[in-house]
Amino acid sequence: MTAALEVRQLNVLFELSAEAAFAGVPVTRISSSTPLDEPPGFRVGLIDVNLTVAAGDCLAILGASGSGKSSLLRTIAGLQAMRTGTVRVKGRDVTTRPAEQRSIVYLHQEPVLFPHLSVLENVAFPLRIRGVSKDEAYRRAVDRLMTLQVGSVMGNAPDALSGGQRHRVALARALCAEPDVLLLDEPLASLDPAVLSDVRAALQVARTVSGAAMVLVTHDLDDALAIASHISAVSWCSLTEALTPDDLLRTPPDLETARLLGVYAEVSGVVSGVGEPVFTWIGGQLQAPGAAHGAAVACVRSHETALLAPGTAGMEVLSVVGRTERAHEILLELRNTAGETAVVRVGHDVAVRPGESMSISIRHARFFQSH
Amino acid sequence: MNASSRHARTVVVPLLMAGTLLGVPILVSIGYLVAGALGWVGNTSSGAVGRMLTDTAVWRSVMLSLWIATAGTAIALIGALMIALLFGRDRRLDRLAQRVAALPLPVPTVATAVAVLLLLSQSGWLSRVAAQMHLITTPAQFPALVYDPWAIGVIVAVVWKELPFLLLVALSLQSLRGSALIDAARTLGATPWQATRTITLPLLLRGMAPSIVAVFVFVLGSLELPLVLAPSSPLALPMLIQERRQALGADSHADAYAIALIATALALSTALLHEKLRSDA
Amino acid sequence: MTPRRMPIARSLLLLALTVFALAPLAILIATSFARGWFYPAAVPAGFDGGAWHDLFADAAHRGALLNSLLLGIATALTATACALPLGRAAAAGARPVRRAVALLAFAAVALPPVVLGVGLQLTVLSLGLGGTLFGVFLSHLVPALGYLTLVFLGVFTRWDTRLEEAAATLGATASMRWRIVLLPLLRRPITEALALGFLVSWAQVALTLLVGGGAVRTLPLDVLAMLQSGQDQRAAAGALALTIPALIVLGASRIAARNTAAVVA
Repeated sequence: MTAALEVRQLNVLFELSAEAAFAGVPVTRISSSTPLDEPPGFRVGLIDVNLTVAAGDCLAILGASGSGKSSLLRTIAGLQAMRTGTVRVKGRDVTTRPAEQRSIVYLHQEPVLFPHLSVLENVAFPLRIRGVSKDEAYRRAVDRLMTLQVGSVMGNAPDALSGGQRHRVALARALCAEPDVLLLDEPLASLDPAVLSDVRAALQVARTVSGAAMVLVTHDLDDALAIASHISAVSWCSLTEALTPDDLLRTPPDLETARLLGVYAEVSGVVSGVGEPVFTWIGGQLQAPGAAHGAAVACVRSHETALLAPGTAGMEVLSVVGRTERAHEILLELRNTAGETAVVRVGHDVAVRPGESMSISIRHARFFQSH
Repeated sequence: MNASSRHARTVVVPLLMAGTLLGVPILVSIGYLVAGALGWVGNTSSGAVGRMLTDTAVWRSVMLSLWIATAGTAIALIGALMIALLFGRDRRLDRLAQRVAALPLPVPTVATAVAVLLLLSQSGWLSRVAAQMHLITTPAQFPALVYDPWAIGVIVAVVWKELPFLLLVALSLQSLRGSALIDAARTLGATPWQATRTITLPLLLRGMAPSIVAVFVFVLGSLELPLVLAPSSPLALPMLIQERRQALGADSHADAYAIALIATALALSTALLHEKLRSDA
Repeated sequence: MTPRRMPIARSLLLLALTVFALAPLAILIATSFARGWFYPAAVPAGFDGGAWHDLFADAAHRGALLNSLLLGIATALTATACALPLGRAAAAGARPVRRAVALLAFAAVALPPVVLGVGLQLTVLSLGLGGTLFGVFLSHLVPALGYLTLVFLGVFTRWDTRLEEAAATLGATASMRWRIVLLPLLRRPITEALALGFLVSWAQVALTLLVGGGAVRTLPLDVLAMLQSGQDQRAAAGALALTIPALIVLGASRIAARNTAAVVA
């Protein structure tokens, strides 16, 4: 089956005037062998991007602000020049084609609705410019608006809509263009929680109805988890392999990506041992199969930590020196007798307070070399 | 800050100031126009307004002035739009175009009129170039571009003066808006021409509407240009007013006031239109 | 991303635009410095400063130039001084008031100067100021006030009031706020307003003609007179004499504007 979207060896450039923020990269970490030829007015953002998305699937690209995610989407959409690489849509090479011929719709972070057209005219726009008659175009537009549950505002002017409505109208309009690929730039970034679930639901509907390949970029893991079937992350100016959310959370490809996911406590320690490697930290030891020897960081999720009574089974005794409440978990700052500290994450059911002592066992972790 | 002092600050004070500085002179001068037209001052007969409204010479003047203003504004607008759309995106050319376009702006209208006369009259520079190229042999063979019934010379002068102004307005509107709308249109499948036609142009025109009206009304009321470049029959409206005012005889003065009132009505309705467009934009 | 289609066409268009913008100025310069330029010569036989000399040697022309300067400066200063507080008060006002003031200001600009002139002429006559420089000055004030009120209305509508609020809560009195916050930020708009006010009066024809009744001579009126009596070269020199200060004044205000670190555009 031909993938709906295939991108190969794309180098993404930042237009310097558009994105002043640039994620600084130590030159030694770039693995690509292609020389960094930066044309005037541009800075290299992402190197050798490869991605494949099947029709009806959704790939989320996770990355910090300024990492080049938006530039990547704009380049794929044809809004920004490409120096290297290829883009294929449904097997068709669109690398040299202008944006309007790629069958790729790009949705801005803030929905861009044409201010001088009503909602209905906005949604019917892609049909009208393809020569569809007014009646037919409006009929289809109304259909899409109803599918996304914003049929009630069809006669309104764009500036009279709420944030959530604007997003849904933009989606309805994108659906009318019947694209093979939908690119969404931080679709949920500017929304408050109340509206968030509505728009997420709208995105799901859009994905099902259109059957297009979707790529969305975001810096928020929850957004990615809500909609995507696969997740890639931006790490050291390139994209990691696309993994399912479960796989990604279980084994993030590197420390930078793990940090991006924002769900792990980072515990410092050392990996050593002949035979099976063992990770040693202030709270004790645990098996670290396959981990490289040396200073390391273990990434642990809150449900992978278990608190035990102090001294259980001869484990190290740690005293609690700090406790921070978070929305979904608690951070505990622990200290051993030598004065070394570590911060772990635990669930809300944990009741220990500063001053108390306890032991802690880590059931599972991912290990990365620290530098 | 209590309600009444706030009311004073936001309503009474501004109105009072505007009333004294602007309102009084305008109202007084219009008042005198009315009085003069009705024969209350200046020792004129009444009924001037009625006479003027039925005078064909007056209506021909009105038509000429409207023609000059419409044609001049339209050509200046089309030219400005074409240049703005072609230059709008290229930042380097855009700045250069802006500097060049800004040159005619401060030039006083009289100077413009003199220059256009020297260029386009039958003994002007273009005519001489035509003679050098052996296309004509005498000045009279050169087409009459000034003092002609179509007021071509005036319209050329209008375009020279107003195209740069409209161009600058268009360029600044374009730079304000950015490319997001066009990008959205393009990924929805619109070709560059479709995007220009359905998105850029309508929005540009909407934003420029007050400026277009301002240009129109300015040209309508300009005395200098028709004075130097326009035919003497029919006279452009401002010329007609001035001529009747300077003429001897109280009756023609009254005519002048009456015609001036007609011109006032025209000007004020365009002012209202301008204000409506400005607050809509 | 800039489409790089048709770069040649764009350069040509820029060239055409440049020629279009400069042609009238070029003809004025050529004519004013020409000596013996007769039909059908496309280029003057020679150049000298004769027309310029005649222009300034004549005491009447010098008087007209002086009048124009006096009127221009007086109009600029007075109109700016009045329009600034008016614009500020109106911008702070309720929306209908703002619109009313904008309408009034635009009416002052939209009314043909001829019409204003005819009405103001009667007013000025009744005040006993007919044919005086002061009377003409008063008439010039009307369109100048209109333009400048629109300018300051725009400036103050976009004004960031938070600057003054911050200064006030830090203890600055009203006069301190004027001196330390407002005036520095207003330097650019004030300079542009002065330039604009000057130009409105400097280029004025209809009002001077009607209110001055022929007794008050200004440079534009002199240029018209020279043109009508067929003195093309002197008229061209006069037109340039009219244009050059305008270019300088506007250029100077733009330079001053660039040098000011203005928060408000």
